[in-house]
Amino acid sequence: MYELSYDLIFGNTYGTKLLAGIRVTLFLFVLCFTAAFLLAVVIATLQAVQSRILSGLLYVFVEYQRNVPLLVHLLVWYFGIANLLPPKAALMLNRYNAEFIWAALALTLYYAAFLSEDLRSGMRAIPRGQFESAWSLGLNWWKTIRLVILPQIVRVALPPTVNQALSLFKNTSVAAALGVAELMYRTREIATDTFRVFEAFSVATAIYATGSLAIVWTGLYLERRLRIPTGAGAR
Amino acid sequence: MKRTVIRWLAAAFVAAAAAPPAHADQLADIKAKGTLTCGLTIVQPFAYTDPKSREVIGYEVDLCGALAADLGVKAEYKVVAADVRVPELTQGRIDLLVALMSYTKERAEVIDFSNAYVEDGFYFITLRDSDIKAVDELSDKRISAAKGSLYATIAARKFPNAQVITFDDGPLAFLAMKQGKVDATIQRSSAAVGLQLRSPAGSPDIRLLDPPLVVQGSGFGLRKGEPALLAYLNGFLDKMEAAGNAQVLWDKWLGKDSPYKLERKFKFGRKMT
Repeated sequence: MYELSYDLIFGNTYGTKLLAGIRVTLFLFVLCFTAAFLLAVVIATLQAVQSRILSGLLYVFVEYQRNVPLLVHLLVWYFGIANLLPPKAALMLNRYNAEFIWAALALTLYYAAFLSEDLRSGMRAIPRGQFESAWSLGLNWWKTIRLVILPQIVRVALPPTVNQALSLFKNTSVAAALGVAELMYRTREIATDTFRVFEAFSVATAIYATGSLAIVWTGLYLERRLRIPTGAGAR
Repeated sequence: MKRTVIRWLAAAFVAAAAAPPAHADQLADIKAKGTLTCGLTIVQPFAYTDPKSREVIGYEVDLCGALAADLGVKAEYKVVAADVRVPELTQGRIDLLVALMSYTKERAEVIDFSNAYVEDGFYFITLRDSDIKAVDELSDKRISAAKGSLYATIAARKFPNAQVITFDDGPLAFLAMKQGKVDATIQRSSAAVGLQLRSPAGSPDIRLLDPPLVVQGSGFGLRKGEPALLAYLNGFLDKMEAAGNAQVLWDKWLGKDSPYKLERKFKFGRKMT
């Protein structure tokens, strides 16, 4: 009969490892989400520009990112594209934790693609007529964007953005495949060291669920704060 | 309401963890059901997919087959991941681990080991033209290993200042070394020789640094409290050695009839400590 015991996992050695893993996971999440969001804003904005070449390039980028599994992206960057670097640059990267850098890059690009699509649909939800109405009311271009257009985009795009944040938070675990010592990596390490496999994975489950719920609740809170009685985004 | 939900969840978790079916005697059970389910991990040439037949073949596959024949039952193979080998066994999804399970005291507290059917040295491996010529020079370097392997833990203990980076399997850890992403990788010598043999022509040569990190045997892994099965397995290994089948198996996969040409330095059924 198997007896559950969490003493080892929360003990000094493995507890420290677990905390270190949580730190890396949170750092990876915050870094990648921020970078991906900023990049997505740029992509979505550029997609509004009327240029065949530009929109073609962006289409290829977005579809390549969206239609290839995340793990494949990570392995391609780390074991493939990384080899195209000149040896000196590769050596320097290795000194600065190359695994983390490549994993962060792959995650950022992957989620930037998804987020840019969400932002784009937010933009498309706003009828062109609103620009004309705003101008006829005497608002200049910047005021139109700031007071009329952006507030609506934010409200429409918020729920899908929260979804992507949630997905990113959980998928930081894929970085373990490259040897990034985040929460999943540490969990597997602890599991193989102690053979407390069930205990280790149940603790990881609880930690991921806590983080995910925090993201969900932050999203709900923001939605409630931003709700306006009429217009787009109101129910 | 919330509390009830939590209580149910906790109960489900505990039930899931404590699921191993209660056997009176596993040896009798295996004979009764007529199949022996062996848990294998993919490491060439111990167990790997034959590109032609798409079937799992190898040293450990043949060993499991011979054991099943000896028992008079059908062999069934299930591939398991190295880092969850033990729960696959303790939760009863397989009968036996035939998965290069190296003996350690810690592991022996969770599962039982039969005597050895293979013994191998685990080496630090670098590129031949690397500046690193001796094991001690690795004390603060980047070293790759497979997740769930015994030697990742031992290396981290030996060199606390080194950065031991684990990858999903041995070949990826090996590739990271060949690409210069880490300074050395740790592999069992047979697996390393095999990986080098299968590397594309013109790829850089490797060097195994002496002495090995550890020389360790692997035996069948079985659930605790099965004295009849354990005694049977040890008897089977002794029988293989005495009848010469052990040498035949070795020669086919690792010895003179294989590309590896390795010499056997142990006897089947050697007791591991």
